[in-house]
Amino acid sequence: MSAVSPVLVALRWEWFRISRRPGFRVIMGMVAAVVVLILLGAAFLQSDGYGVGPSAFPFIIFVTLTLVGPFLALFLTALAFSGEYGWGTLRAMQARGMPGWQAILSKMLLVSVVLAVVWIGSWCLSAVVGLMAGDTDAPATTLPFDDADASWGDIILLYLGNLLAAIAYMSLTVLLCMLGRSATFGLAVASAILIAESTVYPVAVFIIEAVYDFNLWDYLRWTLRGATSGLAGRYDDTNPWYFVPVVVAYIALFWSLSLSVLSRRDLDGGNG
Amino acid sequence: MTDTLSENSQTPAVAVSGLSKHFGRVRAVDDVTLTIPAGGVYGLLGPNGSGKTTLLSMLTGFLHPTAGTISLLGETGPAGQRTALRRIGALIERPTFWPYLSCRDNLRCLQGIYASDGGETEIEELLTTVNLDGDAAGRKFRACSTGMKQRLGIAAALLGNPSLLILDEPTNGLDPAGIVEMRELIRDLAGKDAAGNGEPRTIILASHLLNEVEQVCDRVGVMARGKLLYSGAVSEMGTDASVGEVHIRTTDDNRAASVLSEAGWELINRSEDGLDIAVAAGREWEISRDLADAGVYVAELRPLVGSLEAGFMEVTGESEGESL
Repeated sequence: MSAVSPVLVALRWEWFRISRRPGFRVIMGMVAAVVVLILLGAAFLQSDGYGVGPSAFPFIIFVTLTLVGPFLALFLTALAFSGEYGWGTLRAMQARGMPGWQAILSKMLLVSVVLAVVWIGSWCLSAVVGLMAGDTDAPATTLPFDDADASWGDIILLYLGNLLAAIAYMSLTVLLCMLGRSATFGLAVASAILIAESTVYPVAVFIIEAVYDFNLWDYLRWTLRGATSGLAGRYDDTNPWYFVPVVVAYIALFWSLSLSVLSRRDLDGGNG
Repeated sequence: MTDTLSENSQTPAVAVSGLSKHFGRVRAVDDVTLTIPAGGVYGLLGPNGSGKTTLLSMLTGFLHPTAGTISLLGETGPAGQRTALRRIGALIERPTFWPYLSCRDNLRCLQGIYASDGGETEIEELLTTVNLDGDAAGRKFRACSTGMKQRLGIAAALLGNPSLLILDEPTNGLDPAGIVEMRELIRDLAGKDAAGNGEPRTIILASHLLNEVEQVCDRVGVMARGKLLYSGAVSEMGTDASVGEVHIRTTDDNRAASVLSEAGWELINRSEDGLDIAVAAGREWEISRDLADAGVYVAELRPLVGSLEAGFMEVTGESEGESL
């Protein structure tokens, strides 16, 4: 408990300072605006008789979070870590003897909690708006496909997997920030990786499938992108739950590498 | 492993042995062994790039030593160093704060992170101590002047009333009035015990300004090119302890030169503007007496090279000789 308490205290003060950061307020405002606009648009269509189909509201949110979630994680991480070697919390904490792993863990937890709040909040909001617009299935059914056998476990997995994927990319960004000693570097490289995965992978899969007649996704399933896609149900032959420990292992790997780098890294460059 | 030295007044505030820090081929700090007793103000003197900041950064855990051991407030080893750091306040090189928070919120945030239980009372007292109360307290850090930032850095270092205060060139960027104010503040802080534990407060003041160290510090360490060349009382620095120079103008400089030479004074320089004489600290009045006895009267007598400056030049000059 003695090691947990400082992390929780640091977590509180991380929130104190990041919640006052203009960049954080702008990003969260944009997320809220996007979510609300999408839901209001869907509600308008629903009430106007066009109908967006049963369980459309959570589906819309699910798709939105799948698209923007990892990028949101990247930007929040960059906000939490920018300036750390200059004026950030790492320096302030270590100046009074807090181990680096406690300092960095508080930041990672903060971003994870914020992401979780965004996910849960968005789902609840979508359910409420869906109910108000006459989509009675909205609170219970969240699957983006017709699946009469879908259970609450499937629903939870869908959102948990989405959240885990975002946390995995957050952890990768933290590692890159630590390696590059720069939030800008971490954000840039992580964004490049994410964009490359989103664009290069599908093209490569298409070409290889056309030329060699096999599905490249089968060979990519244990990569970060493959595992996070597996959580979303990409692989029919593998239960999505199997990918949970894989993604968690990626998160643990990135976290441990980040902490290892920090514990060996000087916070100053030395200046006479 | 953590070793704790016996808890008594003899426990030094800082004891480092064989401490080195290399950045590639650059030896920023080279085999420094130093003991700083508890209580008082210890000046760390040296030109820019001499290794002062690197040494202090190792004490505060910002840099990992290449070699050597550190004992802070009687605690040794990495775990001991972390324990000791809870009782140490530091302002290293430049104030580091969140630019988008106000001065008050910066202190609140740090107070929370440091788990200091002083509450709002401590925040307001510290803001008053460093003259940042009133409207200044609510100003965003990025909108503060250099002097305000330095003072906020001092306030942050004082959070939790630490037993050891490490200040790295705290008067950097201050105007003359601010420098005087800062020196008075440092002397004032040195005179107070760290609250709650009865320990005398120790202040380490790194500076490249000789007069600053001379006016504020009881003891001094001189660094150059990463090496510690001297550590001891300010008044004892240099082999010719406390020898300086004075410049005099008299009613008859020619006669004054011969009188002083006969009396055994060393004439350093003679010009149309007067005479430069080597003199031990505190003995300047004897020049005036000897001249008056010979019927020559002093029109002007001013220190030319302070005793600390003379000692510093001597100490660092030896270093240059060794390195050649």
